[in-house]
Amino acid sequence: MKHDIEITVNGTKIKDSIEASTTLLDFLRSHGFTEVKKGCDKGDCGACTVLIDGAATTSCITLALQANNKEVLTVKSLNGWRKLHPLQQAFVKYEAIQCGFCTPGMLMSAKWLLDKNPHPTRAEIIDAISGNLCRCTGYKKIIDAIEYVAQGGK
Amino acid sequence: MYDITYIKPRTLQEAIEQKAEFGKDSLFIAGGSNLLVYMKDRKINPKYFIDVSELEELREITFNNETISIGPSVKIIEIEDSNQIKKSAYLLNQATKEFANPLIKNKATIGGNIADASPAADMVPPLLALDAYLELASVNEARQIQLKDFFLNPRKTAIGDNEIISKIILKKMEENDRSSFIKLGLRNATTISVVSIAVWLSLEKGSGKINDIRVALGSVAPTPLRSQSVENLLKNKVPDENLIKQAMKEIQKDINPISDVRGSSDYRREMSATLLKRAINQCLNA
Repeated sequence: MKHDIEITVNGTKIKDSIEASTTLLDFLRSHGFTEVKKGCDKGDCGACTVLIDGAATTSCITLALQANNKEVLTVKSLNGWRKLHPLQQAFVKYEAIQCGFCTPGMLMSAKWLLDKNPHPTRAEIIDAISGNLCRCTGYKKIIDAIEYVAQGGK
Repeated sequence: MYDITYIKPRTLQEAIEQKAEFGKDSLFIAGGSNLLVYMKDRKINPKYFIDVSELEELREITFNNETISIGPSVKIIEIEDSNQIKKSAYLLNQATKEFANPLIKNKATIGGNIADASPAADMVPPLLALDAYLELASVNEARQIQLKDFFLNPRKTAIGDNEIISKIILKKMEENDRSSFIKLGLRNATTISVVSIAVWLSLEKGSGKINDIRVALGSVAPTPLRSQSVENLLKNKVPDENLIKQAMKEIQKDINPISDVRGSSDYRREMSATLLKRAINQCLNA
């Protein structure tokens, strides 16, 4: 059965009429927000991480309707025109990106962490990204990049 | 994909009336971190999802003289972040540190963890060790049930067809109480437990005697359970190395682990004993 839905994504109101079984991930990607990646599609890899009203979560196991009337932020909310967010800059500086597939999810988990706790310990950073898998980097450079921002690096 | 209708009741009363109306075709959904996975695997095919995640009546945390009442739609992250729970039910806080990962904790609920009734449910051994009971509500009545009587089999509970968990009530920890939660998994995070153990004990000041103790385990039986044999052995005793060794043998009477992809039953038996020793020592050395 079709349900009306309205989600604000990166500041823009998106309205549609969808099947209730539609996941937030599929909703976002079908509306052009393909920066939100589909990895395992079952909540295990974190590639699909977005912020819903400030809370980072896996959009593949979230019903789109559970984000109805809420604010969703994807990785594209981080950068302005020609200006990278400090986290994005740090990921580049520390070479924390190889294939880049985990990166949007990693950045959103990092953003959630720093919004909640601006100066986390390294252990807290590791815990914050424990839901995001990376098959390329071995995680160290990702943690270094986030730690750099946590210590005030820009 | 599926022909599902999504409903969002505005009150608890509305939610249980809707459940009574739609019956077996409907499922309550809160965080959805288990239900969506089952849905994608085609293990469930409800006609209705009744979203109870934002019902204020199910999201209260109340601190009483001797108990704490937690609403089922309270998220795991909210339990982790609660300083009051850290102070008066530290064992719950300890469990949240081992629970999945932050992305899941940001939506998973304590009620969902109980209702899903996995033998490996991480919030359950701590709740058992804090002697929790549930309040179950339906259209015409509310009843209470001890958490240790709630689980019947893997993914099967004593909940009635049209009932909802409306409250989770547990015993506060006192100042001389100690607790420990240890989860053994195949990896450090986002892992289903191979064996998990929650220990709560009350120490007598000065003598080191265990006045009272509760020990609960996950993943070593069809349901999470309390180890009465260990509790009976250790209660009113001053624990020493020999007594703990005895307890490590006693625990085998109460568990019945299977062999599966995560480990053999022999391994689980051995690890239950090892985790018991570690957990008790952690409590005593705290």
